[in-house]
Amino acid sequence: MKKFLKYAALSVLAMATLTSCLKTEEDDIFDKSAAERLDDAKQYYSDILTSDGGMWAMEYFANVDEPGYVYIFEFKKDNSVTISGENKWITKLTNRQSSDPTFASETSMWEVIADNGPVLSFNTYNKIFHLFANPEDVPNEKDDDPDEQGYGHEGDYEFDLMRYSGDTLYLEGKKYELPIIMYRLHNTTPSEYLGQITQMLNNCKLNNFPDLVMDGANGLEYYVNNLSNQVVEFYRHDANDTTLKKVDTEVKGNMIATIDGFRFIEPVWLLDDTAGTKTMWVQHFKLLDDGSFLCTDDNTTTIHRMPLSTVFDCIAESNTYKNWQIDKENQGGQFATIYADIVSQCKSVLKKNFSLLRFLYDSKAKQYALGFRNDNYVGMLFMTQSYIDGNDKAHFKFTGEGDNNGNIHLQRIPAFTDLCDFLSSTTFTVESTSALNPERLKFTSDANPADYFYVDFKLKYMTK
Amino acid sequence: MKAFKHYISVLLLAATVAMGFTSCSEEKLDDTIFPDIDETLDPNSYSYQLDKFLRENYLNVYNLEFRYKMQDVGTDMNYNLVPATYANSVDLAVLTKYLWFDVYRDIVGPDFLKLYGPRIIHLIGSPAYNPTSGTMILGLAEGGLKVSLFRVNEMNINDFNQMNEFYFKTMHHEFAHILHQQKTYPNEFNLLSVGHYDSNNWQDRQEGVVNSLGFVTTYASSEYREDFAETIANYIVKTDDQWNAILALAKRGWATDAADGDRDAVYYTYFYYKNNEADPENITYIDGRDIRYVTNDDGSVSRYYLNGTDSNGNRIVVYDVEDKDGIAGDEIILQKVQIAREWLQASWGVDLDALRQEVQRKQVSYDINELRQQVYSIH
Repeated sequence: MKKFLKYAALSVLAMATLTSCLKTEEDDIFDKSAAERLDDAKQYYSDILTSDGGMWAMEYFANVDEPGYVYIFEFKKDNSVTISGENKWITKLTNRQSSDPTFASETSMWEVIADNGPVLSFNTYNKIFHLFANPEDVPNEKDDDPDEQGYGHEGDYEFDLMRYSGDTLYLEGKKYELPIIMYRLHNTTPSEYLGQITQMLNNCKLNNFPDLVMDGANGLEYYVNNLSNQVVEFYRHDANDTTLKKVDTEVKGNMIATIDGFRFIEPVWLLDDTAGTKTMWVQHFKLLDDGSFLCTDDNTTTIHRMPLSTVFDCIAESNTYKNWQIDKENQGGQFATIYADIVSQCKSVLKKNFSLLRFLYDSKAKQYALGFRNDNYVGMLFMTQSYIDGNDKAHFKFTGEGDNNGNIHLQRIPAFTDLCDFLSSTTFTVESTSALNPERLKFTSDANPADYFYVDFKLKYMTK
Repeated sequence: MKAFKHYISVLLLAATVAMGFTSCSEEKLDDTIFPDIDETLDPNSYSYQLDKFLRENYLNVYNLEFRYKMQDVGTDMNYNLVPATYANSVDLAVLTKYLWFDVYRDIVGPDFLKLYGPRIIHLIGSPAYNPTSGTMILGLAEGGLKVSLFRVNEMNINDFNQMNEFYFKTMHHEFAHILHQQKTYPNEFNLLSVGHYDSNNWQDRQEGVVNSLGFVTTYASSEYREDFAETIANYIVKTDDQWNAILALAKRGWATDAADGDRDAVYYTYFYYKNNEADPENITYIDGRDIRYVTNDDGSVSRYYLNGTDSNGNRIVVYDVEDKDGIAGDEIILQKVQIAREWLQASWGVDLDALRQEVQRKQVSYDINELRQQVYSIH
């Protein structure tokens, strides 16, 4: 009987619950139906896109393995859109071998359509933009690159419109779900704006000194690589400070150039080497006047060149012809006087036209040297040391010996001895003309700032 | 316990009935949740000319939406696809009307495509690649209602063979699917090539080889439904020369010196004996481009290998590969056409040969600039 009562009570309860479900009808939360609200949202975003000139910059990422690219959209109410871009993939539409960016524009159609929400669709083909969604093989420079036919870049051309705030549209690729941002533009043209973006990328092109240093807001020093390729990697010295180890990150450092710097696709969390804990993150960087980058997320982290001691010592790398060539046009004080003496004495004594001086490393003799070219003759004056210390001070010490041509010039051209004496007896302060790309250095005498000279990085022994 | 269960059931039934009444008494139809849609075309729209052409020539006449603005929700999201260009959409819109809809209107009757034609034609700019199998989809017919045409952006209006292969043939192919999805064709067709279909590796087969097996194309050899659609489509669009070439290849024997199972095997229909020594060990296969034809004094023609002579300085004689597959490929193909011909006539009142004749006439005589004016002259 107890059992019967228990089940009867449960039945009544169940019935009451069902009845209650039926009778509880919620009041309408919204004034309009879902379809009407979606229609309103379509109109809302269409109006935003076409108003106030209708020009937008999109920071577009096709996938998580490539950098982002800036595109300019000029939306018109007739549902046409002129899309402009300036990147290497546009170049490769007509010249597979080239990786230089090319500017191009093309007009096609757009529409805000309804899906699960408002979606910005570029629904007729635009070769400038849809190249990232095209499933054809990606035209890399090498013929033996992987075949991507059927995949292409796997980029989106339809975007969920997530929100609009302060002339910024936040979108998400509909299929591949990458975050995309659009900024409204005023008082510019697509070619002008994209030209500035290309210039920013050029600032990041560090062909000869690709390694950079990031002083993190967490007090740690990171090494930054691949800024030129725009998929940045971070490294740190291991606990013993002997080898560089790649820092684990939550997302790849796919960067996109912006009008004032660059940003990563998402915040890049730099994880601790050992515990895998999050130590800090970076995303937005601004180019400073001195050429370095400041992280605007914490206003503390900076990215700048490697120490000048490391930079200058690149000449000692094996199997390279790297050297620092003294700029004969920009020098001053006693250095300039001695240089002029060398030129005139070579002319008067040896009847030769002296053409250049450079700091190099003779891998055969395993010695630093001051190299020179005098018409068709090259020679070296050896140094026991040639380095820049941690305080960016340069010290030179000559052995008094040279190679065969060096010794002849030391004997017959007194100004060479003057130069060695001057360099050996002077401490120089070294500066780079760029905080990011130290391909030109200035050496200024601490004793007399009027004594100075510049050196330019050269990949091989140039004759001019 | 049994009585208890019964009780519960009754109770619940009573409750349900009560709720049902309650529910019915409160239910009333509200206004539609969908906003009114303004169907008026905007003359200021960028695509007004094409939109108006499509409305007047497809929607109003055939209740057909010619969808050139890509909607990826209308596609298989497993593929990476891109939209068609506006310009190519214009070209394909006028050509589809000229070479498909107008042909059926004129040959079969004005109501045929209104009744049985697709309700949506969807243009897609890229092919739908299947990277793993190395194939690509050129067209799709879905549920007898929708035809998707792919690869629109690579359309070369000046390349007749390309247009035929990728677009016109695809239109007739997909429409054949739509028709047989509504009325089944005779099973007799499916029996003609039983055992010779290969749905997994058809793409690795060679055109002449499948012809000799009784298929008009390699794709036709994938399965009998595709065979049916391919037979009709190729018969309609192929010129007499192209069609006769298929039948000629279908009569030949084919052989390969590649190992069994080699997916890259190349088949040949000619061979010679090294040094003219008729020994199976000396067989060397060649293709038709390596043959020199020599007219003899009696007017007969002899075939020799183009390059070289035997050790006696004599020309090397070329032979046909023996047809060992036991299939008269040309006869099978013609039987398939006949079945399709009779089925189209009996089931649909469609004269396949009249259709072919009209398509053949129109596809070699159109002026694309003139056709485009149907769109671009709209104001």
